Amino acid sequence: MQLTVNGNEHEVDVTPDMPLLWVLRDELNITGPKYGCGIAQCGACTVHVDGVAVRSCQLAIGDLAGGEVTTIEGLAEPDSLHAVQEAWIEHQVAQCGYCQSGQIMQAASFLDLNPEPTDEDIDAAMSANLCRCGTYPRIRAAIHAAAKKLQEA
Amino acid sequence: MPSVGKIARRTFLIGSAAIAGGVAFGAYMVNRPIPNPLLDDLADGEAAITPFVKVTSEGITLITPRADKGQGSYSMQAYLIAEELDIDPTDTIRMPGLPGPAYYNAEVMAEGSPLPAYDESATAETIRSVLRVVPKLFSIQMTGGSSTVPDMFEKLRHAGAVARETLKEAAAQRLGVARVDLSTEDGHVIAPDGTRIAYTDLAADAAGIEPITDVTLRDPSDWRYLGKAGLPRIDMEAKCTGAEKYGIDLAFDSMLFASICANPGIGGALESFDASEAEGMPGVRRVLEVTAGNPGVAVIATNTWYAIQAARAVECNWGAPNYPASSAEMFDLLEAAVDNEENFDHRQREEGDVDAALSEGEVFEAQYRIPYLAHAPMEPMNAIVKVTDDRIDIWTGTQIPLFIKQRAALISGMDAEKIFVHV
Ligand code: FES
Ligand code: FES
Repeated sequence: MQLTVNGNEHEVDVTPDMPLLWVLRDELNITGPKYGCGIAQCGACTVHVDGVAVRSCQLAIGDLAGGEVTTIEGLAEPDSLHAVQEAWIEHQVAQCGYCQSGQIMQAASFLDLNPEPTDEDIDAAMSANLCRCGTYPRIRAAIHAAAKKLQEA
Repeated sequence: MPSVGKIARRTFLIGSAAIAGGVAFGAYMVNRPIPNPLLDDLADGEAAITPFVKVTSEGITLITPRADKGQGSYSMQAYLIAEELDIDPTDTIRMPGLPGPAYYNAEVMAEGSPLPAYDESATAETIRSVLRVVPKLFSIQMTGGSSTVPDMFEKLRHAGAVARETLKEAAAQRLGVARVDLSTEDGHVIAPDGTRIAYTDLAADAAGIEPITDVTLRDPSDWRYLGKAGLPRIDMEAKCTGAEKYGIDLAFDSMLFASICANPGIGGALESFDASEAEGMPGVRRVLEVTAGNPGVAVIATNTWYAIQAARAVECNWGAPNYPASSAEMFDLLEAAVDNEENFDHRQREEGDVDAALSEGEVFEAQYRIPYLAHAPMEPMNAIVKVTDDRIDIWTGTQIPLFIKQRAALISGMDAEKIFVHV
């Protein structure tokens, strides 16, 4: 089976029901997307397929249908950071960091759809991305900061 | 300000040790001044958790031995060393180090540092004593995160200062000037005429000289990092780009993956199981009964997903655990235990006359209850174990690596000396 991840083509030999998350992590050694629950409850595995945030633990590789996958590793241009990542660093969001790949991918996709979100918009869009360390207030602040950066860019 | 004398009384200084291509600095604690007699046994085990600064021609490595669970302790430990060493901690390699005697045996003793001899029986005794106090350790959280900074506050700054002064001495000998006329800045020794020599360039020289352990720690008014607001975490960018590696992200060639289906009632038996369906599933190599710890069944497969799928397909017949199913019933049991006078056999403190005070003053009564809360970290529990004929290596996220080492020794029958836990 073929798939494109962060602009690179890969060939994998797995069953079509294998979730994208495990193809990325175990077959391609792309470990930015994290395994938290495997049942669409935490958001740690969030990646983009054709620019839209999806839970990679729920997307069978056989259903990818040629969609282009972007993981946290490929969110920014090489050697630079995406506005969301910059804002995350400025606001020192991550604690253990385990949820943050998913948070950042979710936030980047959300800001594409809603470039000027309110606090309520943010809470609604991000509420399915759990953070066991409780970094929610900083996530919110960083999303506002990233929105500003993207507008100015 | 802490004086050298105070540190010297508490610690036996290794000072430095020549290593391949450079030099390692550290402070070795022989005596841990904790009044609780239960913890005196810990001295050797704790002693082996050692702060280190390693300088080679390739770069500077800081060993930050306390686990980071998101509280930022890796960053803080690096800043403690950097404060005295005059380096930018982001320019260093940071490693948690191997725990306990393993670290010493593998790295330092092999490299010829002047450590007091650790014979097998002493190490074995350490492990045994750690095991004896483990229940206490759990209940008082001795190795918990809140002790990291108080515990490391002097040790790591001291290691940084010893490294700095020894590197200066190496530069002094090379330049033919006095050490006091040299200063340090940003990973370099600065000569009176402004010449800058990189620490990495001095590594080999420093390895060959007597370490300078007579150091004075800087006054807090001179600190550049410590106590300053807005100190960034050193690992922040890695955590925002997917580059940070967690235990679950490690992989080795031809590694196999196991998923365990354990009794949901902790401690309950595995009465029987049927793995015939699981055995025929894609990628499955073996299905094994788990007998150590919580009973269950493990499926070994060629990737995580195949292992998880097959583990779900194992039909298990579980025995009941020996605790009640509901919180309400658990509270009843706890209450009965609190009321049982036979349990009144522990006294932490005895001051004043409780009966007299209660009979005189105003009595305020209240009851507080908290339910059982699972830790439930985002990263599911995982470990990588590599077993060869002459050693076992374990990679896992843990707060008590020595305990894991001991368990591995019990299960495998291998000597604890040959078991290495990488945190
Ligand atoms: S691992 Fe996909 S949502 Fe939790
Ligand atoms: S930063 Fe630890 S789970 Fe979110």
